[in-house]
Amino acid sequence: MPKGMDSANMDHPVKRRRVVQAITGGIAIGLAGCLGDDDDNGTDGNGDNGDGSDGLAYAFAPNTISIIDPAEGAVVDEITDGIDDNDWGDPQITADYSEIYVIEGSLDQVLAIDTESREVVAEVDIGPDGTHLYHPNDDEMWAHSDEEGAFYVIETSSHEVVEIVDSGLEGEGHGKLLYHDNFGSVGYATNVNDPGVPVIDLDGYERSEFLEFGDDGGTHYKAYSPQTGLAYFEYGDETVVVDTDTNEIVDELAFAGGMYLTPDEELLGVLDGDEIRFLDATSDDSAELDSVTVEGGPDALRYYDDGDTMYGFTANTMNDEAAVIDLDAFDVVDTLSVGDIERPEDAHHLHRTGVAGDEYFFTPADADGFVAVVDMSTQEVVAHVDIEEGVDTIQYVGDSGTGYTGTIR
Amino acid sequence: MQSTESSDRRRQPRIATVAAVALIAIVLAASVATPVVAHAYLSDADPANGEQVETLPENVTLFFSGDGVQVADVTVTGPDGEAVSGDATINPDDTQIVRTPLEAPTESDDTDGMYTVEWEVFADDGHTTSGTFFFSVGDDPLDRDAVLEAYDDEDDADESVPPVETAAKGLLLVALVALIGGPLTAAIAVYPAAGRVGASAQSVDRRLTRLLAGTSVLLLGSVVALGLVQARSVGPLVPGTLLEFAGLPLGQAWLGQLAFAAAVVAVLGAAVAGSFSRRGWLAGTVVGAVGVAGTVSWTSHSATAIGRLQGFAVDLAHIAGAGLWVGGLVVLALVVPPLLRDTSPADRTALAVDTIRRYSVLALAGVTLAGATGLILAAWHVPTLEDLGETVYGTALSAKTLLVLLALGLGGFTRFILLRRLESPTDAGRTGFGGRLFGSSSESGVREDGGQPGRETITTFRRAIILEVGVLVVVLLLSGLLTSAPTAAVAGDDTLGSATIEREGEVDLALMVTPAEGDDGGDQFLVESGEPVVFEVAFIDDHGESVASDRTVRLSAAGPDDTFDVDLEETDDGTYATVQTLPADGDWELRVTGSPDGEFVSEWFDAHASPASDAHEHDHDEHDHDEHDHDGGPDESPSPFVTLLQFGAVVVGVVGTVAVALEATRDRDRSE
Repeated sequence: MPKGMDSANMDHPVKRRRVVQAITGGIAIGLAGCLGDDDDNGTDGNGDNGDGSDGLAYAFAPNTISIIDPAEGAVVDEITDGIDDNDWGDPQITADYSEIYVIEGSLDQVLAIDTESREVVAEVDIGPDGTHLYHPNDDEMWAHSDEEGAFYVIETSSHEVVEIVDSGLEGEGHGKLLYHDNFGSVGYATNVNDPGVPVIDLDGYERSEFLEFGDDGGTHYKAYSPQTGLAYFEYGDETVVVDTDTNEIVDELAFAGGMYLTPDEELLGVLDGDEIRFLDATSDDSAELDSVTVEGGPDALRYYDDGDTMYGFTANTMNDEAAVIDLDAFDVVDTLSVGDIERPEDAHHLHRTGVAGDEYFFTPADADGFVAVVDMSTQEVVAHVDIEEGVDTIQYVGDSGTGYTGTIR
Repeated sequence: MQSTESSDRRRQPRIATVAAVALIAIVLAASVATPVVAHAYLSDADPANGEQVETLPENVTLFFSGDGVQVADVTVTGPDGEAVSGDATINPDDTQIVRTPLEAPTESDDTDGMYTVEWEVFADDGHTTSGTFFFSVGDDPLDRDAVLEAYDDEDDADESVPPVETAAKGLLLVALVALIGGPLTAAIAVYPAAGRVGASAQSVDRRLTRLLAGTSVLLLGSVVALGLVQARSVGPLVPGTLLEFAGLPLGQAWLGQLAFAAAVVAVLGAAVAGSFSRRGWLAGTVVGAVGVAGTVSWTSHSATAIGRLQGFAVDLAHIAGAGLWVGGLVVLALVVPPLLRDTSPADRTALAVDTIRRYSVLALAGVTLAGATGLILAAWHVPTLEDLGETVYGTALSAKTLLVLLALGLGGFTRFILLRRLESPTDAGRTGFGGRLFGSSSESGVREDGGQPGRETITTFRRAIILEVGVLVVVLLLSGLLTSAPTAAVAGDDTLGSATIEREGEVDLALMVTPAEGDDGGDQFLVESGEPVVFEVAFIDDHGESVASDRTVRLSAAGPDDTFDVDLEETDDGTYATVQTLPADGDWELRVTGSPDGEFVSEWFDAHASPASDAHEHDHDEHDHDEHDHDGGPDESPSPFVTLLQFGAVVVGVVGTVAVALEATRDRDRSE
C-alpha cells in the first residue's frame, strides 16, 4: 500500500488533492447560515510546543492551523504539515479535550489533532461533501456526508470509520444530529431534503424511525431543552416542537432559524432575520419572552454569565461589529469592533463564526486578516490576532460554556 | 579510348565534390526534422474523443496528421445502434480534414447517449488506417463496454503488415536498385575496365541486357501488384475501383510509376533484340528506374509526413545510394565472373582489380548516401531507442541494420583483403579465414586453372560478392516491410493496455485502468490526458470472488487544475466502472470508496497524465483547427536517440564523402 492512505496513515506528503472543493463550494453559499468553522493556519510544521492546549483556540486557515493564546492575544504555535489549501468544515473536540476532529472538505476527510502534542494524528476518509461533525458519545465522532445523507461513524480510539448510518430518506441532503444524554441511544437527525426528522439508533447504527412533519420541504436547525424534554426543529419557515418522550409533535412556531440554548438551559435564542427571539426553555408552551433586534444581523449566539447577568454575544454578519446583549433587559448593551468578513457582492445572508471559550469570545475577521478576541467578562476586544487569510473555523480547547451539546446551531 | 577514360577520371573528383556538397546539404537539412508520423492518423476531432456535448452536432470533423487523406469512410453510430452519418467528404483545400454530416434529428428524437465514430482512411502513402472514438450527447457518460471494445480493436489493428504489399514493395526495391546501380556500374566500372584489357564488350552487353531485362519485368510485375493492392484499399477489384483509384493522387503517381516501369521494359527489350545502342539502353534504364524510384519516394512515409520535397529527396537519395551499392554488386556477381572467364589469363587479374577499384568508388558513394539518409529516415520514424525493440518497424529496422553491417563487413573483406591479394601476387597464396570461408583452400594445392596466380582469389571474390548480394537482397525485402508497416513513431504509442493496482485489506480492492500502463514500481498509473479512460473497481474476497458494495462506489480525482467526483456503475462482471477523461497533464490522485460486505473501504491511487506521446496526438485544448499542423509533430525536442541518429547521419555523410574523394583520387593516381 505505497501511497494508499488508510485511515490513520500519517505518512502522506503535503496534500495534493482537492477533490470536492469545487463541488462543495457552491453548496457552501446556500448553507452559509449553518456552516461552522473553516480554516486556519500554523507556522512550523507540527506544533512544537508539546505542552498541551488548554485554554487555547485553534484557528483553521487553508494552509495553517494557528494556535492562539487569548490571554496573550497572540499565536503561540502553528501546524502546517500536511495542510495544503484545505477546506475546513465543522470542528469538534472530544469530551476530554484530548483531540480535535475537523472536517476537511477538499479530500472528504476528517483530521484528528492531538491537543497535547499539537499534531495531526489521523486523516480519516469519509463520504463526499462532509459539513458537520458530532460527538454523541466519548468513543465516536459522527461526520455527516451531505452527498450521501449519511453519518460516517469514526471510532476515536482507532481513527477508523466503523459504521455508516444512512439518515436521509433519499440518500442525500445536508443534515445535522441532535443528541443528549437524556435521549439514551437515540439521536434526532435533520435533513434539508426530508420533511421530518429521521430518528437514529445510535447503538444500532441505523435509522429506526422517521417523524414526518409534512409532505415536502426539509428540516435543518435543531435544539433541545433538557428542562422540558422538548426538541425544536426548523422546518421551512416554522419551528416544529417535538416531545422527545413520545416523539409527538406538540407545537409549531411561526418562525425559524438557528437556535442557541443558554448554559443554564433556561433560554433558547432563535435567530429570525435581524431579530433574536428568546423562548422560555423551561415552559412546555415555548413561550416567547422577548426579542432583540441586532443591527447588522446576528449569527451564532454565545453566552456568558457573570454571576449576576447572562449576556449574549454575537458577531454581526453584515458589519464589522459584535453585539453584546443583556438577557435580563433583552437589549443590546454594547457593540464591539471585531473586524470584517469577506462579503461577496449582493450577499445578504452570510455566516460568521463566533466561538466561546471560558470568558473569551472569538470571531474571525478574514477580510482584515485577524481573529478578534473579546473578553466577555469586561466586554472588551482584547486582541486582534493576525493570522492567515481565510479563517472561518475556530475550536477552543476547554469549556465553551454550553457543554458537549452546546454547539447546537 | 584511354584519353576518354582519363578525362572521365579527371571529372570524377569534381563530380564527387559536387555530390558530396549536395549530400551534406541534404543530411544537414534533413537532420533538423524531428520524428513524425507516417500514414494518416487522427490527431483531433470535433466533437473530440470522450467529449460530452449538449446537442447532437451537425457534423463530425476529423483532423489527421501525417499524410493527407485520399479516401475516407466514416460511420457514426448512435445510441440505438443505428448509423446516423452521411457520406464523409475530404476538404479539398486541406486533405487532412474530413467532415461527416450527421442526420438532423426530429423534435421527437431523443438524441442523448453515446455515439461511436468509426473511421477508415486511405492515405497519401497508400496505407489504410482506421480507428474508433466516442462522444456523448447529453449527460450520459460513455459506455464502458463500448470503449473497452474499441480499444481492444485498436490494439488488434495497429501493427498489421499487409503481406502482399510488403512482398511487392520488397521485390520492387530489389528490381529498382539493380536497374539503377547495374547500368551505372557497368558504364563506369565494367565497360572501361574491360576496354582497358581488350575484353569483349559484346559478352557483357549480352549478359547485362538479359539480366536487366529480367529485372525490369520483375519491376513491372511488382508495380502492377502494388497498384492492385492499393486499389483494393479503395474498393473491390472491379474496373470502377481501378478508375476511382486512378483518379486519386496516389493512383496518378502509380500510373506514372507504371509508365516508367513499362518504358524500362521496352528499352531493355529493344536492347536484348539489339536494336538499341549501349549508351541508349544504359541511360534509358537508369532514367526509367529513377523515374520509378521518384514515384516511390513521392508517396513514401517521409514525403507524405515530413514534407514533400524534403522527404522525397532523402528517400530518393536513399534508394539511389542503395542502387549504387547493391546494383553494382549484382553486376559484379553475375556479369563480371563470366567476363573474367572469357578474358585471357594474363589480363584476368588486371581486369578484376580495375573493375573492383572503379566499383569501389561507386560503392563507397552509395554506402555513404544510403547510410546517411538511412540514419535520417530512422531519426524521422523511430523516436526512441525503445521503439527499436517494441514495434514491428523498429524490429525490422534493427534486423536491417545488422544485415547492412554484415554486408559492409563482406564489402570490406572484398575491398581490403581480396583486392590487395589480387594486386600483390605474393599474397595470393595465403589462405586465411576468409579464404577458407569462401573456398580458396585449394590455392596451395593443385589449381584447376593450371596454376595462374589469383584464380582462387577471384573465386573467393565472386563468392563473397554473391553472399553480399544475398544479404543485401534480404535487406531490400526488409525495406519493403519498413515501407508497409506503421512507423515506430506511430506504432510505439498505441500499445497502452490495461494496468491494475491492488490494495490489500479485509476485502482487497483492485483498480484497473484502460488504457494505461503501470510505472516501473507499479505504484502509479500512466495514462494519456484527454483520452477516455475506463476506471474499473473490483472488490475481491479471500477466495478471489468479487464482492458487491453495499453503498455507491465512487471515484474522486484531483489533478493540477481539475477535480471530479463520480459514481461508478456496477457491471455484469461484478465490478464497478466509469469512463472519464483526465483533461490536464500532470499528477493526479485518485480515490476509490465503497462498502464491500458493509466494510467501508477508501483507497488512494496515483496517476500521471501526459499527452499522447506519439506525433499524431495533439493537445485538444491548444489545438487550433484553423491552423492545423500538417506535420503532426509534437512540440517536443527530439530524444537523445534521435539526436544521436541525426549526428550519426552528419558524421557518415562527412566521413563518407572524404572517403569517396580519397578513393577516387587514389584510383585516378593509380590509373595515371
